[in-house]
Amino acid sequence: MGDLQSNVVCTGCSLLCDDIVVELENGKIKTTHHVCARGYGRYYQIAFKYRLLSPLKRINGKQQEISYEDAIQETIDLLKKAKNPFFYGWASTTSEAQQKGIQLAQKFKAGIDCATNSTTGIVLQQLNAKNIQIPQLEDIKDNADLLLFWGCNPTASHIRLLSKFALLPRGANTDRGIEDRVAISVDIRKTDMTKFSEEILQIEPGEDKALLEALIQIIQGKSLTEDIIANIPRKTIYNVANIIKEANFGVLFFGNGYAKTQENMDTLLRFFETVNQKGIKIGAVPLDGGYNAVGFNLNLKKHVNLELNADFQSSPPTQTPNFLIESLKQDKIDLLVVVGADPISNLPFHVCKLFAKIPIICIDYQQTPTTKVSHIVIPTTIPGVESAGTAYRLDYKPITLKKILEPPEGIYSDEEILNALLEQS
Amino acid sequence: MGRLNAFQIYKLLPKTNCKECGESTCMAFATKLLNQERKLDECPILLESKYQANYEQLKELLAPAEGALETGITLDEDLCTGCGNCVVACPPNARVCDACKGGSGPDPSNDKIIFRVLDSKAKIVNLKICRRYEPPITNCRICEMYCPTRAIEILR
Repeated sequence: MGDLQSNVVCTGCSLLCDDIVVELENGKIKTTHHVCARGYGRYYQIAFKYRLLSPLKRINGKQQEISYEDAIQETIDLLKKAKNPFFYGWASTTSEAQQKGIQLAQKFKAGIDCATNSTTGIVLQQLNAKNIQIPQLEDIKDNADLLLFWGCNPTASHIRLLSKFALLPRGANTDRGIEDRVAISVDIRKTDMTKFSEEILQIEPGEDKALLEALIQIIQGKSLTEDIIANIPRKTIYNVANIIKEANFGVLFFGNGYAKTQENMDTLLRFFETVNQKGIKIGAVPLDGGYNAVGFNLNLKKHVNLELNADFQSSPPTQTPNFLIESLKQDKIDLLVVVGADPISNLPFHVCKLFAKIPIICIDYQQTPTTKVSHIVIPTTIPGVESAGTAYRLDYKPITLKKILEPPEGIYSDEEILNALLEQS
Repeated sequence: MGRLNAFQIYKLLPKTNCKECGESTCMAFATKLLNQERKLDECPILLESKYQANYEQLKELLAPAEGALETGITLDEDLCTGCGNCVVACPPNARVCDACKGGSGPDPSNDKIIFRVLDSKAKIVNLKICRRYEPPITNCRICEMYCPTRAIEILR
């Protein structure tokens, strides 16, 4: 066996599994133990053919290689020239880089927004406002006996959730594993989750609110009058409500399938209030991409006491819902700096079209649709493999990322690049 | 395609119940084929040119069964996502590895366990502790039950 690096943290998703073992041989990764398909990508991307190894600048319409120093200088010049720069991304980078980014935005009086704000950010803000706790994943493993999966499919998005934290492992008070727990899944289609679920509620799209209202009513002790609600027979809803009532410690996992409109969020908060009044302990865990999405919200709160995003043009800084999209629509951005995100892949096409008007500076470790349209691209290390740092797990637990390999020559981490921008400007 | 059953095999056999293979009926032969107790070539009628198409079709059907290990388990690595459900759910695995019991990955040097995940694919390390390996054999299907992508299938 070669050089074994144990307790490596995987940055594939926001679970940040910390039991990974990586076997190194001659300074290269030979095998990885316990990594899922999503996490394996991080280790495989080191020698990926789309890995970025040199800074690029668009000259006469074509991206050409330039030196690292030139790229930093060009970026600073563009930032100084810009009237309304905007910093976007941050979900997939270390906490240290996020802090530097917030300082940089403050220095240039820019806007700053996180890529997962429209999903996780809003939920966390509203849950915090109502004082609803996000349970620790270890607590879920030890005590949870009811798992509700609403609009999410962790077998594809958070692949090790079921085996490492939620359903299968045997914890202190759940020593029979899955036999001590009940899982219920709510989705608009049959997913792989149905295999694990006691009750499967296949609802019509957009009917989440109606079903949750019905559950609230039953838990409050009222009876339902309609026979079928949200495509689910009344009997099934009563059955699920009874399971919820009998739970000692339940967890509601909800993903992007639960639309985060204000109406839906109000109903969700009311559900938590109702169960808490009845003395039923149910925690909320939003499942989302971006391994350090909650880190941005925490850091912004620490730094400027805002939770979602910050507009440093006004003083004191203010926050706006859907900050990036609103600013783009109002033509308020003249330079976009993207760190740790790929907006062109993730945002809808009518928003992406608006990016065409503005120069983009992208800091990433591999080619993405965003780097393809960028004016300047600065390559970076893969956090958790080639650079260390801190990331926050989806339950706010800080996890230290390990450096296990030396990065390629001339490649710096997000934190070092942002620090250089901060110091040299 | 679902799990292969004896009737699917029977439909492609000559259905003459000639007893030349030593079994009393073709259906009995089909069941033994599925359990890998008999070989396809042991049916002399099937080797005639008349049944050549059926013979080839059967060979294709039984190919995954031939790859099955002693306990009838097959693992398709192309479908596996490395979720580790089999590692954690498998009761003998949890018995020989405390880390697996609690949901973490096993120690890389532990070679007693049945399943481990290597490079995001589940691997079978040691089948000897499987509940289906040595008498008293139980019809345990837990790994198959909790595999979300149907990468693990038990053929009998």
